[in-house]
Amino acid sequence: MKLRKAAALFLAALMLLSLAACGGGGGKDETTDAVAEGETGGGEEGGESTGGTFKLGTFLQLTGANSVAGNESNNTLDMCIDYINEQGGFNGATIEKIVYDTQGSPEEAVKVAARLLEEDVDAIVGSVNSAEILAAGQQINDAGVFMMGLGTANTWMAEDWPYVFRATVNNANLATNTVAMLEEAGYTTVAIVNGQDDASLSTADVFEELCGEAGIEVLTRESYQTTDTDFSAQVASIVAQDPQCVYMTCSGEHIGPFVKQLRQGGYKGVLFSKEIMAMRDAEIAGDDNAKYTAASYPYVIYKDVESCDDPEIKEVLQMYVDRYGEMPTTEVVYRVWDTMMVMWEATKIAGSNESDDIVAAMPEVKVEGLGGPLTYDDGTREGYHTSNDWIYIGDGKNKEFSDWLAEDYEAYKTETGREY
Amino acid sequence: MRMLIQLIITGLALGGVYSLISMGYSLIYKASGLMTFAQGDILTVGAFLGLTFYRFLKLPYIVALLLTMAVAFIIGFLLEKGVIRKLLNKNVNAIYIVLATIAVSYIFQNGAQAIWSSKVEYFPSVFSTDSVAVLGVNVQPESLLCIGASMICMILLHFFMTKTRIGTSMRAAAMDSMAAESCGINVSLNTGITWGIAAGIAAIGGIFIGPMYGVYVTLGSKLGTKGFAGAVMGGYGNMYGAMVGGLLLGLLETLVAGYISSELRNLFAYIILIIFLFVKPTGIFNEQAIQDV
Repeated sequence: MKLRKAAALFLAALMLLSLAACGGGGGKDETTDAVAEGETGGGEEGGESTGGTFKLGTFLQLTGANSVAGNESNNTLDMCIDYINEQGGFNGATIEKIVYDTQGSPEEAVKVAARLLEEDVDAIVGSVNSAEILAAGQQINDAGVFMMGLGTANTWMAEDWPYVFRATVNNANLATNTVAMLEEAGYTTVAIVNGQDDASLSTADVFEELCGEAGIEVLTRESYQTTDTDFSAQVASIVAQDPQCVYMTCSGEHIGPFVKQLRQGGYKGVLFSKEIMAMRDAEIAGDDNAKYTAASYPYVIYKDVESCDDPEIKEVLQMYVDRYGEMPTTEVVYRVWDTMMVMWEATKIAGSNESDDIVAAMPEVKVEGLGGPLTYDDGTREGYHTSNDWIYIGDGKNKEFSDWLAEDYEAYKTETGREY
Repeated sequence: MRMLIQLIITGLALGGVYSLISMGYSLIYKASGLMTFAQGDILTVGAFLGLTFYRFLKLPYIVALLLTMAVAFIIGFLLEKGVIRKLLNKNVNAIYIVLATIAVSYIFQNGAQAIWSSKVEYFPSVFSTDSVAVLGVNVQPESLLCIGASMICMILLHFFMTKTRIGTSMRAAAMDSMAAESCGINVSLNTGITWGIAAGIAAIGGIFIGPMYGVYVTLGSKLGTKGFAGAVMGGYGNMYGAMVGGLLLGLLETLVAGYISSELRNLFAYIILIIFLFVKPTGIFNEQAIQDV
């Protein structure tokens, strides 16, 4: 009898846990953020006061193995919405967020995007997973709803979707910069490792093509599936080929374990990544293993607020820490901040919250983003046109790649015993 | 040659993890005649438990390992008593047991996310050194631990099942539960213990691979299916078969990925499973669990 009771309790606990875990799954979390009193008179920035609400739809991966970026995006969206609402909202309209969980599935993204459109949202922000934007973008564009994507793949921005914009980086452009970094260091051979998700695959394709044009030989190209945990075969192949450097388009939960296994397998060379090394990835890889991972990216991730030397980024990070009590572990906080600032500026220029008016205003938008200027006057619907080159030097610090080559490259060679 | 050595060692290490999962499958089948698909996710739970005891509570590694095994044993035992036994008492078709274990595997995944995190968690290395040189190639020390652990588990399980009273009664219960009960064997208790041991073994795999791969909620899902394939290759229900099948699968897929293409790795593993099911369903050790009819 006792055993039956214990079993029943165990099952009940399991059910509760399951329900809790699935809480975000496809469910709606409508957040009406606090609004500053007296805001109906218009925002401080002088936007036209129209009152009412602005329904901002968003679809993000909030559950599953790779949901940390989605959850940090969701947090940052709430933070930005509060910040903008306190200053009058979009042309006096209070922003209300409606969020759906994609569970990391493009199919689910299509469904939740349709639900957002059914709910007559005024604009949409999402997702950090490019495959989800690629799947859901067509219907959003066809519905004539202004959208800003948070993913970094080149594929969905290559579509003819005039209502879809971006205030984050384009990996294909960054691949160009990364090839330039290889040339700057004098590398002539490289190995490529890519995941099978949209952003990883498309970026690796572009990188390989650019290497061919630059005369850099790709000694081997290895891939893995999103469910893989063991990379020993890929590591053995790379170690055997011993390229001068390795380019990784890993993302999510894979980059930390891959870097760790690669280093433990004996490869000590410089690693180039499509994304900046996140602190959580450096921790999983081991700080020493994560050293010498370079990337072209507008901004870097900091260990704590104090170590941030960029005043604008520092302010945003401080807001995040004040609100959530912890540092964000990925750079999506910058992506979302920039995205919301661009959208805010566009609504101010448009003097309206209608999608067609916002789209028409976008070419005039000029915002100083966290990673540099964001402009949309070239017809690409891309905001960032410049980047910065970094290399992780350990202890949560990144250094300008050119400076590192000039000042620390010889020390690196001595430390690793490598010629390159 | 250097690459071959590295692939063999890392392939055997991966195979060692598969073996630990395969052994759970085989043990449950051998002792209860049932199949489960929750072993991979129990491995995930084991990794999270190990993380909690070792990293968060800062207990000594050996204590963390023993506690992880103990908690996993209880989870496995309660799983049998709370779900499997209930269904068996209803005399349901065996397929419902399999479906129930699939449902339980998702509950474990979501439960792990709710309790711990959806982030990849860092599991500190047990060893002071990051890699060790074996025959001139660098390998992760945890890899060697996995190979050793699977061998020790195989030997202990074999002796447990063949030389101990409880092991003998488990096998008797699996062969003919009614006859076993009439001989005074508590079949229900035996089956519960079997599921508990299988969960404990999977949890060992979880705590060992945590430092290699990091710990996250889907860590064991693919490993679970590979472990199943290893069990079939070796001979479903055979302890030695589970060990050999798991090691062989890990080795072969690593060699394919290294010498042919990393894209073909998983494809190759499942093609081997299909080939075995068609050509040699009784596996390498000719276990009669899955027979050609």
